[in-house]
Amino acid sequence: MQTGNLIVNPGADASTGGTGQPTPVVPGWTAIEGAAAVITYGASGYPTSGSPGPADRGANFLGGGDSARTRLTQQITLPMTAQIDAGAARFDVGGWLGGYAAQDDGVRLSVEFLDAAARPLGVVVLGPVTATERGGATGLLRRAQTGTVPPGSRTARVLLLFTRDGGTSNDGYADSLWLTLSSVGANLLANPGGDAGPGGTGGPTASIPGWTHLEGGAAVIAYGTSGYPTSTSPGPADRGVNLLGGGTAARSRLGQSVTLPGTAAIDAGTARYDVAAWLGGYADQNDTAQLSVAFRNAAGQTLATVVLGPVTAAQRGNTTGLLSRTATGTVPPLSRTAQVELLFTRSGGTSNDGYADSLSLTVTPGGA
Amino acid sequence: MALRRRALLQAAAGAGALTAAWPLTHALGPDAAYAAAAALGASWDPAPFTLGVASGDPLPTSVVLWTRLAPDPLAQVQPLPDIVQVDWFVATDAAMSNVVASGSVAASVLLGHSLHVVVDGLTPGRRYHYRFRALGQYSRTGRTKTAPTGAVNLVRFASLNCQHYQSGEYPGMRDLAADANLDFVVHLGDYVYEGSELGTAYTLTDYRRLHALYKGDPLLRDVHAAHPFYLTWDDHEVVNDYSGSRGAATFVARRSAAYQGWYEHLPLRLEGSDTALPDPRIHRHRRWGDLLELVILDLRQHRSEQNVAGGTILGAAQKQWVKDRISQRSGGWHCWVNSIFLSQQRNPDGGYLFTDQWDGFRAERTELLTYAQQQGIADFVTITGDWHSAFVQDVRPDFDNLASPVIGTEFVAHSTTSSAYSASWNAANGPRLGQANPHLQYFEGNRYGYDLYEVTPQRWTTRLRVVGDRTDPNAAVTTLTSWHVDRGRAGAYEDPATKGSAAQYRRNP
Repeated sequence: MQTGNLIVNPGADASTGGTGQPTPVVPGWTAIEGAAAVITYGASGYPTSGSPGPADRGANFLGGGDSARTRLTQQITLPMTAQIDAGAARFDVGGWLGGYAAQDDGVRLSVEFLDAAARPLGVVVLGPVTATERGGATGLLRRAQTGTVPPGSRTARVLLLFTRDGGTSNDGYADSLWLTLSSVGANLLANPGGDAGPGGTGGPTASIPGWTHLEGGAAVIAYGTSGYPTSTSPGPADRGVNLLGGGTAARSRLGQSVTLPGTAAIDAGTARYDVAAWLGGYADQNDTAQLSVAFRNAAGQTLATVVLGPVTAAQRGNTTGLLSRTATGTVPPLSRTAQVELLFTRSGGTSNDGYADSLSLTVTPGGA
Repeated sequence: MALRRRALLQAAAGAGALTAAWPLTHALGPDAAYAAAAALGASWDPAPFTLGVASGDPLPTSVVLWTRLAPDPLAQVQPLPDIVQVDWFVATDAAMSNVVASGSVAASVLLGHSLHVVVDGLTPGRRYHYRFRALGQYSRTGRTKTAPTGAVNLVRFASLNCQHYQSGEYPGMRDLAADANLDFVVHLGDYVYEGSELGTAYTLTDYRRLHALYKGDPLLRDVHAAHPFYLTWDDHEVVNDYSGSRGAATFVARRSAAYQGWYEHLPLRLEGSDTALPDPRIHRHRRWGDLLELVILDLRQHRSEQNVAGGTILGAAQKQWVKDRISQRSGGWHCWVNSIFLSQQRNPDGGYLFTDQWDGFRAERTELLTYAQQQGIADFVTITGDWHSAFVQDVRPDFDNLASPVIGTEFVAHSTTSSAYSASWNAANGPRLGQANPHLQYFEGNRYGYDLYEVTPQRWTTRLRVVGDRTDPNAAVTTLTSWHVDRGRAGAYEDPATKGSAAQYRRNP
């Protein structure tokens, strides 16, 4: 499930645009400082339909008017509260933000996720886009962020802060804003594809964010490194720039412990898990990778274990690359954590060519 | 071996390596950052509660509990999922056996996995203990206190300010953490400095690492765990001498990152209809029973440029709010929590010494203090940081007119560690400052520590607590001198027992 854009009048096209003068009322928005302007593309001295900016720019954009500071806000009641509270709602927020020529006026977009008492559980801050970032050119640049909506969120407070660096016109510009939610299960794994740090060329990586070395020395490897999978090898579409490999040890093992969300649903036996991984190896060699997830209770006792892989050379058709493996089921009641381990095993030679990427563990309350 | 911070600084300077090695370069990698921090003696609590715990902004029935999960405190990205569930517990005993409030909240990566748990339903004027649990681990146990209501016979609190990390150790905080009868601590700002061993901070990641570095001082974590804090900020939480109303996008981006980083690391209660992260409203009014009211000022976020017509250090809304606090003041001591020098400070060589202070906003200061006089203000004390030296001075609506009445006292505290002027400068200029500023009663620099306030219905006492050696975390802390203000009588006088202490200026020796 995915919502539509939750921001009302996100590009200022719900009313007629002007030539830069403050617009007392901007539909959908509340002015809490200064007065913004709804400006028509092409108005003299402002961005045109050909300036850098969104493809869906419509006829108008928002500007800061003539105040030193102008603030517009809107409060959005969030849908999908069950998914939000389960940590299973993703947000996608963004907009096109900019300014005029070499002037450093700008606009900042912030979105706070507020609980029922209107206290912030999280904030996303985008921009302002500086004159330097615009290359001194009049126009708007895209800024966006995705993530997990903090559980307990009930409203989103969207705020645009236009600031003037000098002169009389506040030339922060904003257009084509968006906020959407989707119920794609939140991946509970940190650094699930090795992209949280720089990739190497196959040797062991001393520290891999989110993971603990339990045995041997696994490696973060950049796609395209000589002798390893490339960006076009069989593998995940969202592979990023790195994959995980076994390094040079005969056995390398990585681990991370995940605190499970939605404990009420887990204990009711209605929470579903989805485990997914892309696992593989090199050519006809039988080095392998295997992912295991052990659901544990509060005392640390293992209640159930899910294992993906290993993927053999024969299964890969003796081709260098990675294959998808998934499993789903009911999270055992009383589970509180999941111990996730990635085991790379070398069948011979010196390089441990078990590979893994795009790992995922999600828990969906009510999904079992 | 962990070197004392001050000793390392001196060694670097002596070797001529200061400019090359200090501060270390921007975007210091994780290994180099940890090496630099370890060499300075930084250490952290066990993961994931490496940065400790804190409480703040006590009300009669409520406090804010803070922590931040940072298993890898100096990392660019924490090795944590987007959301980590954290349990919290409040008890009436240190052993946490009598839990009176508890809950579970989600720590989000969107706020750096920080938590600001607002605990309500507590008993006024009572001490509590608290801790957190996440990822199978408990935090250390902290202690806090709610504000009392009704008649109060004594409040004891302290102020800290200007704790530049690489300039020294924090022995005064050991003293405070051990003071079981302290009610709370006020921080007057310059909690962090934008330049550190990790480089100069610009981005949110930079400011998070900066705060994590400062929290690497165990004495700072101890004092947070021991007492609730009321907070304001000064300039170095963002950048030296900034005006918050500056509109350049480059600056707005930096200010946003700094404010968010500050909020994520301190126990601030968010309040007010016009507050929105990353820009929290921090000015607020608090009462300690009928004895004391704190008017906590924000002298950075809303200020204009200095020395301009119509300039403001408060912003229009906060200025009106201060006037309302004056006109609606309670019958107790009226205390401004004021990050930067309120009183006039004429330069003996002409002009004003620093117009980043209230001296850069003279019309607004005159307007406010005149308003306070007209409203019959009494029992008015201002506590101030920023200057890295101690001053005691009379507050007058018109500092140039000795016929203008004294309406209050300003106590400017020594810094925690940030360097004062040289001893020779202070010795030479103390008397000159006294001559140029007839409201100045006392001046002493080159010492470090905190101010301790003991306030009763009859008398306000400020004790200047100084450390024997700011390079020694185990240094002894002593009272240099004490000043009193009697209830109903404006103007401070020095305690006869400490009047013979060293001072670089004393109007009435």
